[in-house]
Amino acid sequence: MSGAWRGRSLALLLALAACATPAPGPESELEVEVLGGLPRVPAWEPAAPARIELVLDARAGLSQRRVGRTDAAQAVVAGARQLLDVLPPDVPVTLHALGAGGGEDCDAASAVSDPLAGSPADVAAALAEARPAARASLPDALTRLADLLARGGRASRARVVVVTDLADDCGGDLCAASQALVDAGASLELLVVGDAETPICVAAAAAPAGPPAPLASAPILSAPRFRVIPLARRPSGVTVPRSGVAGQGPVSAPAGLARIEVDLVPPLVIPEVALAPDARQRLRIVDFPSASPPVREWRLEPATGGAGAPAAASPGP
Amino acid sequence: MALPWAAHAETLPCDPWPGEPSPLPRVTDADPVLARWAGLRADELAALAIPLEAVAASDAHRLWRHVACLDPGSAAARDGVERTAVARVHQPPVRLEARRRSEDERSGDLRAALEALREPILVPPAAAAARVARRDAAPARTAPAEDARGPAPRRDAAPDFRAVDTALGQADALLREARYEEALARVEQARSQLPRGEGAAARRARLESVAATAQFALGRDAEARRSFGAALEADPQFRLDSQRTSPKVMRAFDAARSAQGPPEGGSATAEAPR
Repeated sequence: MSGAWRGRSLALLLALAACATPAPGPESELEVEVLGGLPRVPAWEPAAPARIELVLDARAGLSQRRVGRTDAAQAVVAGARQLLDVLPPDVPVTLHALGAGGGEDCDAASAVSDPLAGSPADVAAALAEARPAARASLPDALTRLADLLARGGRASRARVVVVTDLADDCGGDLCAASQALVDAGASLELLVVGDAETPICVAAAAAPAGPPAPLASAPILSAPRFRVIPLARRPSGVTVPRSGVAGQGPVSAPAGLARIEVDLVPPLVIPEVALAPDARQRLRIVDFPSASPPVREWRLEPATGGAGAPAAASPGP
Repeated sequence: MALPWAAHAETLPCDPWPGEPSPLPRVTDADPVLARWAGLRADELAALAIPLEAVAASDAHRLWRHVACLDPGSAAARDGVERTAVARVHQPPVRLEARRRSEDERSGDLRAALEALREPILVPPAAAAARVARRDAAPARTAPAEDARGPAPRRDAAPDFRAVDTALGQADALLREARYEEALARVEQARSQLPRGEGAAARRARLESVAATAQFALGRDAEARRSFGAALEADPQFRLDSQRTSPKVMRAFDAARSAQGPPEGGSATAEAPR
């Protein structure tokens, strides 16, 4: 066969092949973004009530310090009693009497009496029993209480109420102690009797950043898988779904009508959208399954400069 | 009044939580989808925070703070953040006075009960007398004699109000600049520096009035009314300048005056030095 014949035959074969396999149609790119809410309402153990951890200053020397026309010991007891008299009767209270632990002066380990737990009325009745015995560091006692609450897993339910004249018996850093309580998850109410100057940092103690633990354990579903299923069958009769992960870049799919499925709970199925040829589009989904009623909205828009009208959208809110 | 809170909200740490878009969108976002998400997310977290306040205040506080990040103009978020503050200091006056107890003072709500920490501490005179008697009986005690009105102020030196007056001036200036939280901090500091003696009551009244004005501006109306009550208690003759005071604040002040009532005859009251 001459070279000319070979060339013509090859051209003919190529032409036949072109007829048998249609040229691929224009492609489209689709990316998916899910802006979600909580998948479910997190459990906060409603059975566990809030509780008061009452730190009563009962240090030696308190009764020698004047507060107006009385002494600090009486003022502290009166302040604590006023609170106990108005607390709801079902709020559990634990009394920690600072300086009544029976230890040596400034011994942190024995500075606080054994905790006494009961109803507000029970604890009010026991206030008079707190016998001053030693000098003690209030900041050290609060730091130890923060550690105790954190280890017991009950800090977030604890309202720590401290009634004191703020006298500095044995040193310690009140700012750090306050922050330790707040870091542990407790909240602090400092009731100061008398005119001691309170460090501004106490009230400035800041709650930890980030979500509370029950919320952290119910994270938002932001990267579900999705599939693009072309609706126009190709001449070969084969329809190949394309799949991807939300938030992780676009997938290519034939331009034209397509069905989109997103693995949310429950799944989102958009029966038919038009994917524009040679363009990148973004499907944006707002999904709040635990809202009442649940909210799920979506819109298909150009991936760049999507401020204009969407190409398609769910019914508006 | 939303402006100072919005300015404060700007300073909140607003990092996104796991699963949230970064940077954290706000309800005012130019992107309508992000704005819509921020609004729904704020509603979702607020709905969680409200029932939590009574049982886990610290958790509720974190939720409210995040709501404030999503929706800085939200009055509900502002109130929630303040209601659930994780650390508060109370330094009420201590008085020698019998408590008038009603049959049932108990609150049905823990948060409301904790507000009682702001009330003056009343020490029953009988208990104080017993304590003094015990102390006087102690042989080693050589305390100077006191008159019936408590420890006499030192008469060899006039009270020094310079620090308090400076603080009052600064607090006034901060109020004019709408820096209400800072004004409150100055008042708090000045309260602790206020000596006893002639001129103290008038200054105390001014301090409480500044506090009340700041609290109103921050939307803490109940606290503001209590502060006005404290101002009038310190100095029943205290009055606001109606030309320089907003009608809302004037109305609250007038209400506090009406509620004050005449002084009680024969009740032994004395205020702790502040």
